[in-house]
Amino acid sequence: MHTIADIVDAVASPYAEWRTLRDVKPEMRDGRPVYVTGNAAVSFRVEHEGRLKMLKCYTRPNARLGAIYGEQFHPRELTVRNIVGRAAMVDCLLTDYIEGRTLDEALASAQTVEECQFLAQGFDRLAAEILRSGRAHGDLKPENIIVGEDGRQHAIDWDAAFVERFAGEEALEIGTAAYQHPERGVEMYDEHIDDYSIAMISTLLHLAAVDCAVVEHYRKYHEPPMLPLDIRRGATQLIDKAKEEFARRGWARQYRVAEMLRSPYARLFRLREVFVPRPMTTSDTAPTLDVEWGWWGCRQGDGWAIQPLYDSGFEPSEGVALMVLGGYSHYVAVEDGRTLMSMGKGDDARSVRDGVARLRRADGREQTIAVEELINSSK
Amino acid sequence: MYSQEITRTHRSAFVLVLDRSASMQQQVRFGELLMSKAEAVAYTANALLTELIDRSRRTDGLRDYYDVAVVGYCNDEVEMLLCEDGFLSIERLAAREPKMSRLAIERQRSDGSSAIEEHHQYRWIEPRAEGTTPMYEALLRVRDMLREWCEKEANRESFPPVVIHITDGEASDCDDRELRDVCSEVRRVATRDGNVLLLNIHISTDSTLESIIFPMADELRSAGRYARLLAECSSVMPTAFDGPISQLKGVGAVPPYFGMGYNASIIELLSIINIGSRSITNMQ
Repeated sequence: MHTIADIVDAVASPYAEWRTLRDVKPEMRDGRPVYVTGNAAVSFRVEHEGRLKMLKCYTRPNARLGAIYGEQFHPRELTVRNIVGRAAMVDCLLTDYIEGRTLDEALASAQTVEECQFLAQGFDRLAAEILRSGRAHGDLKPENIIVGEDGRQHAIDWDAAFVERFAGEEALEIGTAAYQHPERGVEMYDEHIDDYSIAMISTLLHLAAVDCAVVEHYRKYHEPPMLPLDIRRGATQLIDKAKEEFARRGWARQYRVAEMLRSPYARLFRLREVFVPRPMTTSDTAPTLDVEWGWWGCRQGDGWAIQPLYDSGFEPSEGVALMVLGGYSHYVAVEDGRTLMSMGKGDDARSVRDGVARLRRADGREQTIAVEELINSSK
Repeated sequence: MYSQEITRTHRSAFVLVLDRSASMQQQVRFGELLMSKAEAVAYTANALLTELIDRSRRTDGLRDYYDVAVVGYCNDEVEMLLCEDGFLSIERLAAREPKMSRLAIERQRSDGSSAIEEHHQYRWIEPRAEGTTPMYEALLRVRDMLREWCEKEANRESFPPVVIHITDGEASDCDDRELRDVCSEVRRVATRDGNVLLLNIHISTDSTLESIIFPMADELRSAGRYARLLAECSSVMPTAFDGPISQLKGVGAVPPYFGMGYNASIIELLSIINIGSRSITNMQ
């Protein structure tokens, strides 16, 4: 039995036996190295060849780490002995140290709507990067994401990752239940293993930006207020609430992502298209309303002026399209897909004609808005 | 069953039950060191407590994943060795910051040179060895503590508590049937994720005796009375533990396995505890 304490003692020792690494100096406090643990490793902040690094010493073997991390991985690197003198060669990983705090800490301490929005947007950018990359993390959750000092988010701890050369094999672990589809098993091991986690974290963060009770719940329990099993059993109303809030604001992407959390399948096949928008058009042909896989947008030439994410819509005119999402109508700019104005559920809006948008509010009031005013109002 | 992740909302519990009777004064070899069984068991208990704390250490601080209890019995008395109430949260245990012992051992390195190797350990438990072996009374107390823990609403869905009982002899306060009954009552306590796991480990100083570790039913047929009794008193290990047990036992081992060790050396005790505490690697 080699304990974490045995590994800490080995790293701290001036006589540590490293196989290939030299000059590894752990950060010390009260005469002992500073360390944190995960399920399968203990991590140290170290100075190596004059640079700040993260050293991870594994407590159990994982034959895939070499393929996942390449040269950063050092198999059988450190000799660790327990009190009875039994020696074990421990696998190590040496990576750059990313200054920052985890998304878990950042969300738990968020105080304002703006902070939550900032975290949500940062995560969506990271999600798009992961979905574009062709590899998948395997245990994506707020604790495995560092929010760097510049606000950029970085996924860490790729030990359960999928890379192409593992195609056809089974997963060694299936990630944290609060962020995994209930149907995900070890047999699901491909580029889709992060789909559900991405949908869950994104929905959690965007919902936190509109409902402070979500942040309070997270601060207390460190998990989403809507758990995958509860979603599947229909035991939570929060997905409906999220969809309603997102539809009201015209947040079409977030609306679609929240909807996907109800998927009976662990692979969310349209997630990539939602997070990685198709190129905006460069064509000067007239935009037209079009549909793809049942969702409406505005196509222009080879690209999409308004991404196909809406329930329905009207032909665009004068640079503005009237689109409908979850029962709410929105004026959307053809130029860049921005939501210009959102109407209430009982409001009756008409497409822009002769430079004017006309609508009748639910209380019977008639309203006209000049199209320039509409376009400039949300800039 | 036995699949619940251990989280801050689904905590679990660990109970160590230690025989501290007079026979634990016997000397035993612990690697290159010679010490009493009581000292070796105290070392092992402290190592496990340290490991539970270490495994809970995350970037945002120590996460309160566990309640732990250490129950000692000797001299007609049962003692709660960590706190009077029995269970103590891992967070409160860590906050105590007990004395740290430093053991320096000269060892040969792989290049042939020698170096002083230091091992650090917190000492929550001090060795003790005196009097009789009130094992029955101790297990009754453990049963009651576990019932109370499992009945709490917050613990209902949790991975069930794991009990590791270390002894070197037979009970002085009950017969075999009573021992079987009380162990059965301990094992019947359950959360919705499964019944309490009870591992009984009998340690020996006599290295000429054959040890029986996580036996299969076949192995028990030719075993002596006390080994069979301990097996009957122990849990059948859930499938989640099969992999590491099969690896420990080697070729030919086929589950199910009984959660027990008989005539175990201290090194085997460490291996059993390592596997018995496997649930601590499923923390999120």
